[in-house]
Amino acid sequence: MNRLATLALLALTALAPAALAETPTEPGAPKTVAKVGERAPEFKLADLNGQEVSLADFAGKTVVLEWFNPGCPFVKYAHGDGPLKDLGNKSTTEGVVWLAINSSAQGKEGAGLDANKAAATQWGMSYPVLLDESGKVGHSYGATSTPHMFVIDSKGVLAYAGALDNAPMGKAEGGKPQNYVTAALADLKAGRAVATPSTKSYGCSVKYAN
Amino acid sequence: MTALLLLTALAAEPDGDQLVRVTAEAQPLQGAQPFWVALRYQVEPGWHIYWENPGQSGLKTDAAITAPPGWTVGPLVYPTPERFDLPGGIVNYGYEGEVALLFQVTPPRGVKGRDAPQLGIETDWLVCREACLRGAATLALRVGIKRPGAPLSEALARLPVDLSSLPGATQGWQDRATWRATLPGVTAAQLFPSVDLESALAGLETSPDPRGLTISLSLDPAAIHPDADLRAVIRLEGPSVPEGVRVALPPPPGGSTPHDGGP
Repeated sequence: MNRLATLALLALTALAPAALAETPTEPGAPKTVAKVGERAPEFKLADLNGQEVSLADFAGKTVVLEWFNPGCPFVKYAHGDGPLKDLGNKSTTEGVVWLAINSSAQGKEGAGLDANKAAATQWGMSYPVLLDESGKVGHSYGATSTPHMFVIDSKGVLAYAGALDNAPMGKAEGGKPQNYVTAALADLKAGRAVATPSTKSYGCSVKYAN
Repeated sequence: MTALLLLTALAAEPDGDQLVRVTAEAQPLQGAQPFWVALRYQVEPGWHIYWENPGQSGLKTDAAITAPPGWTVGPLVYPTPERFDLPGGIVNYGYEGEVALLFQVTPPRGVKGRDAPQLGIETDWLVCREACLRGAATLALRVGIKRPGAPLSEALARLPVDLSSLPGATQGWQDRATWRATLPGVTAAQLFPSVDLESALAGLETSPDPRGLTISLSLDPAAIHPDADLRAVIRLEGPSVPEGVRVALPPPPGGSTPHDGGP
């Protein structure tokens, strides 16, 4: 094998770690991914009734984005008896905007109007479920798992990105259970900086298109 | 016909408990000497389970071990993982096929044959293909003296070895944001960072070296907590190199920056 080919092979096999994975380039797709402390990417998506919802609609409000897939066991647990059973609905009554976003591509697990309508009904979700079948919004936020959570402050700046809590499927990893989204919302409400602005998310992979 | 129906039912509704079969095996007990126990996971073809850092989604395969008083149980150790590239650029770290996770048990001093303990093992996993399913198993393993135990040499051989055991290897901080290792005899390397290392990682470069390969990690010092667990496993390729090496990075020179990055 010649030297160039060897170099090419090295470049291919010495793969970048997950943290450095680039967003696939689609026409019009943003090149950089949302970062905590920076302006949250704009989006406009249809809800389950076909109504368009955009981030700009909620200027001046705290917004929570919940990456969603009704077929994912972590989502089923969280909405069934877990931490998302009431949190979204409760937060919306307290003036927070809560949006579920499903980036499952057409034909993939959790995709389609019917599955999402059934889940929203079953789990009594009072807030919109937005469909992002192209995955464009998911990629712009760097959403990799369900549930992957993002909190945007009233100035439109991303204040938290990461896991819902430290207890996948209710099993707290060392120490006491902590809900990072609840904590971030409390910090923002009190006018404090978010103490834990980013964590590592867990769960099913977002079912992006192949 | 019944069997066929049953198979169809299983195919339609896969179960996370059935996609992975777990068995436990221990090295023979020899007085108070520490011995290894292997948990073997046989994963259904096409599916994978996870390393201690699962990557951008997933969940680590975990096990809680209970032993009688006086018997101490070490941490779960993981063999060199593989990388799985999922649609949308999502990267997972884990295992397919058969994999053994191991832990070491140290008997109390003056242990007698009749003291041979029963270990309680509760393990759980996330198993994914396109979809993901949760699974769990509870096992009881009696560790005996007279019964011939499995030596577990194959499972132990799959654990990453310390980088310093690679002849001629060097490693260290170049400055407070760059850590570098030279890997003699290595033609390709793949980094598997711990969760804390991954969160501080800003760049990764490998370049050929006259003797092998150099791997350079750029880290964001502000993202390194004072008690950060900066570890990695590096999967190696080369004519006569181990499957993987493990590294534990000491805190960067000058320490972390307490003003930016939280607790």
